Amino acid sequence: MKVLLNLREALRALRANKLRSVLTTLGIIFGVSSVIIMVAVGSGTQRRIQEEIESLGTNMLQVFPGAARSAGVRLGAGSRPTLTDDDARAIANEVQNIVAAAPQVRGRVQIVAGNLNWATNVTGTTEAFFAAREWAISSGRSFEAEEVEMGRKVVVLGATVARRLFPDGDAIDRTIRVNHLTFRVVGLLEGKGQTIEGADMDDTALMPLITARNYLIGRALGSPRSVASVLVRGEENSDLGAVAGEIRDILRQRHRLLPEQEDDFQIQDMSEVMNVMQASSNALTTLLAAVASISLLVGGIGIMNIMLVSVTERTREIGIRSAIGARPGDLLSQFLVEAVTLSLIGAVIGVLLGVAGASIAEEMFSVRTALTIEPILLASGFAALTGIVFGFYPALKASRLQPIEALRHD
Amino acid sequence: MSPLIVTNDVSKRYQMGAFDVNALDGVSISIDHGESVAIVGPSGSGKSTLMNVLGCLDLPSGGAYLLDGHDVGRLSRHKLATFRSQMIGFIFQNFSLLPRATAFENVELPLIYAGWRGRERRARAAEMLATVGLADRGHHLPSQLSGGQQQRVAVARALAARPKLLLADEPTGSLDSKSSQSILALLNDINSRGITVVLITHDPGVASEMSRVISLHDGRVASDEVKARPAEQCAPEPVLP
Repeated sequence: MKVLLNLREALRALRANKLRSVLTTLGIIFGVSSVIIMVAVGSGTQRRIQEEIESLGTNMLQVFPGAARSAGVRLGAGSRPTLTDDDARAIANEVQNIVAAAPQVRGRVQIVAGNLNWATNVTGTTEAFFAAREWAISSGRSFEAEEVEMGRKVVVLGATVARRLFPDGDAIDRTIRVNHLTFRVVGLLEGKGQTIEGADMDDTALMPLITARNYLIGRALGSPRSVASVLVRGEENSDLGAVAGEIRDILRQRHRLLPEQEDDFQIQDMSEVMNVMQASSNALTTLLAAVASISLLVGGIGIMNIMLVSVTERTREIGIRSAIGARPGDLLSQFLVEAVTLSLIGAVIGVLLGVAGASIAEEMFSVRTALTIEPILLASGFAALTGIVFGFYPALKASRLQPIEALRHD
Repeated sequence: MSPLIVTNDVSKRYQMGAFDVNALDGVSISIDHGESVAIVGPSGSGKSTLMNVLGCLDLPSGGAYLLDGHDVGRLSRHKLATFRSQMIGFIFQNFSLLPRATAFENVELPLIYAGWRGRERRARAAEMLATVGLADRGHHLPSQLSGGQQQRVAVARALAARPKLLLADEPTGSLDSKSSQSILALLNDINSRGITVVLITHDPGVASEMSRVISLHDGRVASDEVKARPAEQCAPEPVLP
């Protein structure tokens, strides 16, 4: 009840100085809205990375062939066809704590189905790929061991390719043509969405390694048995460093490298890259939130400033109030409620602005944002706390005024 | 019944730069329940200081002040405020209404501090406005009322929380003679209902309306005369319905 009456007084006092009240709340408004926008942008980025990690599968290593060195000129990774499907098989058979190891060759092809056609990336691999990428089949089936072994002309299409070539939706057991050869669609991959760079992961087609090498992209590779990379998936919570060490030992042995020779392959730890990205985006979110909180703090100082002015201006009013029975506690709560009202009005407007700002950022600048209730509650709570903390001193000052001094004041 | 007000050798010293000013210098007075008292004296005689002490706005620096049997000098600020809220109503020369609050809200304010609740409080505030003849002006702001009307609102506010003592500091100082007369009549009417009225004035005409006149000089009581109540004889036209 007392609080409601205090609120009435507070609103009346704030209305009496509209412009001043609005300018004072601006600090809180910008503080709250910037906290919300910053955290939304930060956690949007984080969520995107999270999805990326999930879509790529965690616990992943990728082995690439090494760089060719000819007379001192070093070419890029993969320029020497040192990695073969026998290496992949050896990794799969000999390395401990792995779920799957899938060799990959890649090429770009033009696929024709009926009167439609579509250019896409084709990956030649083995049935281990689905486990290694944690990529499920949405309809149909994956390759059978026999198809991989014999190099049958079967294909599993990504969701985008299937949609482009078979808009009617029924792709299973239909045929596609690539380079005048006919392939049978045996399955469709589940949709995975975009990578963090915006590439469409579903714009792909899979076929058995031998098939791809024999019919489509074999010519591009130096050796008939070489592969572009080997994808290795470690067991859940396994030590990827140890797995990488084992792979290195096996490959050095198989490639008969002398101890002083450099590796003729590279092992890339995908989860490590992701961890680094995740950590840096975490740091970014924290930094953004911290910077935004400082503006909230500045807003609080603005409130304190204006409340001090208000107490001085209303010294006589305080005197009258104490003469007619206001206790120090009544005056304290009156001015405290006024400061908190000021900051809460700012918080409400700030939340609205922040939510609007986050959606505008998403719409106009295509920044991925994620609005959650936590930063909104946190920012409003912090704003209210700011009102209490910075309103307390002026309110205390008001409550400590001596009634006769206050009454003498004009 | 013990007297409402007893001051026993009350003194009040102020530090004014290098000088000590004895605003009150051994004042001993006793005022009974139901009296109407004028405190008069030239400026600087200490009458405002005495009013602040009697009103529990200021504490004496020496001597004892007993209000309704309570030793005021020993009370904390919180207790003092509670005491003011329950015992004393104030009327000031310049009305001292809160400018942004309506007449009704001004009258309601002491009731809020005295802890009156919702409907009861609003009924009491409305009743008090009616008592001073301003029932239809409740939603007016002080700036929309005449000086006499503002002082009536102040009287209603002072009496709202049922005080035993009404303290008025030059209540007619800012009013024309007609308004002054009606305010004085109002104060006498209040006094006739058993509320002790103490007012401060330098106007002999106002002082003569009270039944007792205490005159101060240099912080001391110079004279203290009790007269026959003149209120019945020369009351102007009745102001209360």
